Amino acid sequence: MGGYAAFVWPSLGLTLVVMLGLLLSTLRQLRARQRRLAALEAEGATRRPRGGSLAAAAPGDAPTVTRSRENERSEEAAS
Amino acid sequence: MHRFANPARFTRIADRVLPFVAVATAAALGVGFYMALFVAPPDYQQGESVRIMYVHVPSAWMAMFIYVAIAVASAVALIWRHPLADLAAKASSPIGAGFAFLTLVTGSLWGRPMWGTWWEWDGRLTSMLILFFLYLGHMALMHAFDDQQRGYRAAAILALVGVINIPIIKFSVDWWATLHQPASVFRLDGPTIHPSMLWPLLITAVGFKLYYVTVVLLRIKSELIAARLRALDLARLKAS
Amino acid sequence: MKGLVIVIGRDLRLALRQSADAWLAVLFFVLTATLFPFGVGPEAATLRQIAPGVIWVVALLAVLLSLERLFLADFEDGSLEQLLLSPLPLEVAVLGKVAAHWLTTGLPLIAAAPLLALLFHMEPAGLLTLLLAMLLGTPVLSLIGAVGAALTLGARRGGVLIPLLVLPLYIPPLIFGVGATESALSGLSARPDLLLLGALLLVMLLVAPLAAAAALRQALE
Repeated sequence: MGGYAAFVWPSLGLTLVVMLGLLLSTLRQLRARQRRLAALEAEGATRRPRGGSLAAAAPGDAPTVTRSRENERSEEAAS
Repeated sequence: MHRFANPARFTRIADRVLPFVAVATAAALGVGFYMALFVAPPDYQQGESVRIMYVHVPSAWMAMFIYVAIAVASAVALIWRHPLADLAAKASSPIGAGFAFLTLVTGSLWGRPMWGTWWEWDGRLTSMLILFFLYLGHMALMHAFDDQQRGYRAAAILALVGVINIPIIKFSVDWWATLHQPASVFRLDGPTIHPSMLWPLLITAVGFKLYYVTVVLLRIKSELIAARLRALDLARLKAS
Repeated sequence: MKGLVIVIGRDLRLALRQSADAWLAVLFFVLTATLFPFGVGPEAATLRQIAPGVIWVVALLAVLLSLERLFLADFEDGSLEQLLLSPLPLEVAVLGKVAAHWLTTGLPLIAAAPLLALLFHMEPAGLLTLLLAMLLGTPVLSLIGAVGAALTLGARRGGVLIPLLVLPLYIPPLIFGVGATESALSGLSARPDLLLLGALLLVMLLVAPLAAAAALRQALE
């Protein structure tokens, strides 16, 4: 690398680390959420609103503070 | 446009597209990095260190492109109240911040042998540093509210204010840099570039863009599930 | 127009009743600047060289410090909602509040700036330009700050968030403000920098009330 190896390789390596890291953390979060959703649906305790699941999370019924904190925790626990 | 607002339809389309995009990303990045490292010639002035350009410049392009994408998504979200646009903005900013960070670090690694210093208050690098801060602000504001909907709305307004300010910031930083800088600073990328260097650069750039598409689709999918989980939790809370 | 005057008048009366706030900003301004000679040494030549930059940066931080209370009190006691319901457009009301904020923060800072110029041995030639630049620049700080304050209303850790949102946007007024003063000190024309500051002020007069009003609306929803 003509004397520049100490600069070229770390540049490429870091780029790969950051890109792969972001991809893997995205995948892990996705998997964790998918698992939690599957578990909830298997419980069958809730009828999920068809087609409008986003609307169900709309501003009108914002989850309460304590509840959303709890979600974060359980999501973390799942991952 | 609202045809894609249906989360089920979005997930279906995303699932169908994702495998192709993922393979294309891997191919473009593989070929691009290989060419950058082994095929592209060393620069007659900068020697082998020019290979850093093949990650530095595409990262910088992506960092700027993603901020504009966030601003467009934010405008769509504010004007048409399109729920997927909010999710796209939220999913994009960590990726943009990652590329801005990469631009800064690879710029520093390139600057060390070229300028003899790890950091130079050069117009481009300084602007990128400010862009990085703008990303951090966007991410922080997005997560600052207990009500996710407010986070979306506030972050969207911030992104639009930011995108109006970026040209102003860029101009002012250039103005400032030309006043304060010794004239002999080496420019990181010259205006002319030989085709043997242009091709690896373009292929890596395409790879970076495809990477963004892949990750952003995955993240939006993930956000959709999170929204569903929130709704289910709420329903359960009401039932109990 | 009449509504604008009413909003400014009301905020000014409130500010006068709690005049400690305005004094605190000025006190912060002077006190923080006095730290620099201890940091870099008391040599007149060094102080003279850093004077414009220090005065501007410290003024910027003083404005930043005062931003959190810009909308917070009105948000908490419900008068912001009254403003939203009143026939006065919210954008105009925001402009009124920003004007009041500038009169109680920016203007006192400008008044205190000659004192700092003296302490930092600044040449008298630059003083007039410094004041002129601050006259154009501090309203920009108030305007951009209003957007940050409105966006973080009701946020967790709102006070810590404001600097993160606002400081990157403060860089252009800082550059042009210091640039004007430095040009004047080195015998060059300060006109280009002052014109750019003026242009920035015009752009922000247009953008900031719109953005801040939009932010307030979604905060009150």
